[in-house]
Amino acid sequence: MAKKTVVAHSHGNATLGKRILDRWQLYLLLILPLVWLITFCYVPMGGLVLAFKKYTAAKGIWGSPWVGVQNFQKFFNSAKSSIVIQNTLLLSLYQLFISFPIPILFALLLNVLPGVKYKKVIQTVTYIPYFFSTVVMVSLLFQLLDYRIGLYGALYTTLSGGKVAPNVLAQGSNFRHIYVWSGVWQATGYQAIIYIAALSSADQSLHEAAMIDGASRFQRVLHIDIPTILPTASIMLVLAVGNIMNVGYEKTLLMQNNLNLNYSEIISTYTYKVGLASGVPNFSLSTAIGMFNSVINFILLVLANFTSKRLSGNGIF
Amino acid sequence: MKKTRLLALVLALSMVMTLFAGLSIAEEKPVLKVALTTSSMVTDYEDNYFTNYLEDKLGIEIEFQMLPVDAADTRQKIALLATDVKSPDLPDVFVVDNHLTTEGILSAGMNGLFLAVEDYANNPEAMPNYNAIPADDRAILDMASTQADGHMYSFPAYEPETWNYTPFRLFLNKAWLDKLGLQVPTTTEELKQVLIAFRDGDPNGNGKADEIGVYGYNGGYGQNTVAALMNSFVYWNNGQLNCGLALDESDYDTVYAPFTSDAWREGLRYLKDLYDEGVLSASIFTDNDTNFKAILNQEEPIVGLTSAGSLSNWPNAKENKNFLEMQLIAPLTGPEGVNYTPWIEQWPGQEMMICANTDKVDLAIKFADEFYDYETSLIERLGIEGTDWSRDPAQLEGQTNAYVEVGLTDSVKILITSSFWAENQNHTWRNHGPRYTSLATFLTIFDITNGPFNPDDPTQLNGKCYEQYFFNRPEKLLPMLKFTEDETEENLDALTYLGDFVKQAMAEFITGVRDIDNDWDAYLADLESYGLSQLIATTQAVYDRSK
Repeated sequence: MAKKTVVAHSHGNATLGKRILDRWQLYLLLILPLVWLITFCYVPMGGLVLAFKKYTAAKGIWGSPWVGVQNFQKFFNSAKSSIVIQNTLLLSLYQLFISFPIPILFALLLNVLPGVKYKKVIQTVTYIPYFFSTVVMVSLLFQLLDYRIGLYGALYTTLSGGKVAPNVLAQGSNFRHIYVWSGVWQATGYQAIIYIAALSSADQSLHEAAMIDGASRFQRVLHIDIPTILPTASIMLVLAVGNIMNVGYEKTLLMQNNLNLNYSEIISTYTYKVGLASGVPNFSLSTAIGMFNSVINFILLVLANFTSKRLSGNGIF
Repeated sequence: MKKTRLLALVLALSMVMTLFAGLSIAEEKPVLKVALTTSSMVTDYEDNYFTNYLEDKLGIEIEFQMLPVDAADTRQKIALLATDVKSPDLPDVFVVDNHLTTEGILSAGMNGLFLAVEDYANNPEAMPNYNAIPADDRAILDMASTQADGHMYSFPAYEPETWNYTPFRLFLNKAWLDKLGLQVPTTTEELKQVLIAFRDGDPNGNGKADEIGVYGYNGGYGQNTVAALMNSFVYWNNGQLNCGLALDESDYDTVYAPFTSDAWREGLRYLKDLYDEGVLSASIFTDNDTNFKAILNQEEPIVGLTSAGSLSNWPNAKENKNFLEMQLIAPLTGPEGVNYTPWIEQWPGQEMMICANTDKVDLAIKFADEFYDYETSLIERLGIEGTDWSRDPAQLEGQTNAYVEVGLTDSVKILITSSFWAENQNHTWRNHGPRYTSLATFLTIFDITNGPFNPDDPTQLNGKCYEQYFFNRPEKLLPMLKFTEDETEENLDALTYLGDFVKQAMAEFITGVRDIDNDWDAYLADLESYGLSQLIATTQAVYDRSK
């Protein structure tokens, strides 16, 4: 062990090639993920060139004529663009503000609960919905929330003495609430895991000392537990902001109906409809919209990372 | 050691023999690669009566590539295939179950994925069966499959009949009418009174005010009840053809948008009135097929009026308590005397395309033509003769059907004798593929699986529907129009979004999200922002060109 450290140290100033050669086993392991990353994340980026072309399959990607920013203009001039951008931002911000703090609160609560077995049961139960596929989840949601034949309708009718419940799914403005809160139900247990893990690594001596000093349970949470998970939380926040424009398009698409389209049409569903589902697939326009989406996302990510670094000293780059 | 050698020898010999066997089969039977839209109800495609029938008759071997069941998935798949039209993995023939849109076929055809087949289609030697189709129907087939660029990239299926033209059939709860001592309504105003009586009179007698007046959903086969009712004010095809545009009834020549007319607005007022009275359910705009069937089949019937194309919404309709309470009623007459029903023209669906890259064009053409053979067309739809259907004169003796009863034809000539269509089966491809049967043939078919024809049977509605619905449409309708690629490009927003937007706005007006008086101009402005005037202008030009 000691010998190896010395060897490594002695090569501290050696050339890159030599340093790689020294640890070739590690680099060998790195090859597979690297190949994956290049093949599936970087190569397809070349397709972004479609956003600046009028793509027809017969001419191929490089043979199709350049059109400059025409596709972007088309998107911004279309009647849908403003509402689609607005919906995307509102939905994702709402989702972020709700689904980011809740797992933290949940983990903190779970952490102060006594009884290991009890905790484990709760954790498993809240964890299960994460494994439902989106399609199953959405149809489950529709069945439960049906105002006549669903659990919601049945409960309402029973409790109100025979009255028919109001139709929550027909109220377009409810879309965001249903979307976000069903997401909370589905993912809280899963997202809490990382905080639970972070909490378990809290130094027990701090807790003991605090207890001797007469700190209340709440004070211990405030002064020990929260500072412990703060670095994790800030990184998770940066990651969440990085995904902010990628609100799940499958779930949104499945939840759309004629009365909530004003709230539920977001960039990703619009891209899908224009690019693939429409009778006249328009790959170029679709790519342009997708690219616009990614650029905004990128800016937000850099901003969030910068802020997080400034505030807590933690960032992902 | 010796043993091993012997074994090796035997193995080697047998391998050589299989090689020969393989060669001789390949020589005898050319292989045709067919990409086929699957159906979840077909249990086996290899061991399938129709597959074997085609293979034996044409002396070929069919190699399947399966396409998705879902239409959007199929479009996506074809769009992706069209990005590499020279790929050796492409099939020889596509069978797409009418999943591609006109514009999609044109685009894939011009991109070189599909072969232009008009020269073969017009050549009686290459396609004898297709050329044997009677001239009137042949003209419809040619028109439906000829694209705006003048080429024909697909082979259609055409099976005219009377039932599917008018799927927006209104079913009213007759048991409730009788219980409350009411007459069958014939006008929209009478309907409103009936629905209010339903609301207040607890006709299902469970002591709860759980009756839904008007119910439906935005489905594909006549379930959109608000569209059915809107046709008592102005003719609208539910957006199912040409984005819902129609011909102005003053000259039957000018293209206009019914959903911008004053009559439309009156219709919205009427529907909004029903909604405000609590007799029209907002679920019409949110429910899906599962909800629809569940609500229609509650233990205690709760639906007063719905529109539906198929009786299969009530499982086992003949003994279904919910269905037996229902009665088919004629389209209602509006305050201006309008009583139309959406007319869903049975345009030939585009079923089969030939890959431009194939090296077996002649075989693929022969394969396509086979589907237009009279016998093949029957088997494709009806299954195995003698098992699923019959032409046996002894069995036909004394049979009649709804069309014979109303005098549309003189006798039944084909009996359907099994219910395989409703079951998982390996008899057919479930009618995926081109096909032609004449209206005359269709009218002579009778499904005997539920017993001989009984005019009092509540599920035997074909004759009644013909009498009550078949003629309720404007004198002249817009035919299916085909845009060129440039025209499509100009109207991209409208073609992608207008149809959905009209339905969305309709839902919003009826439920009060938009105000019919104050927000009407904003609605017209919204339509304009999707490019409605441009769409009308293009449609008019294409219509004038097609005349």
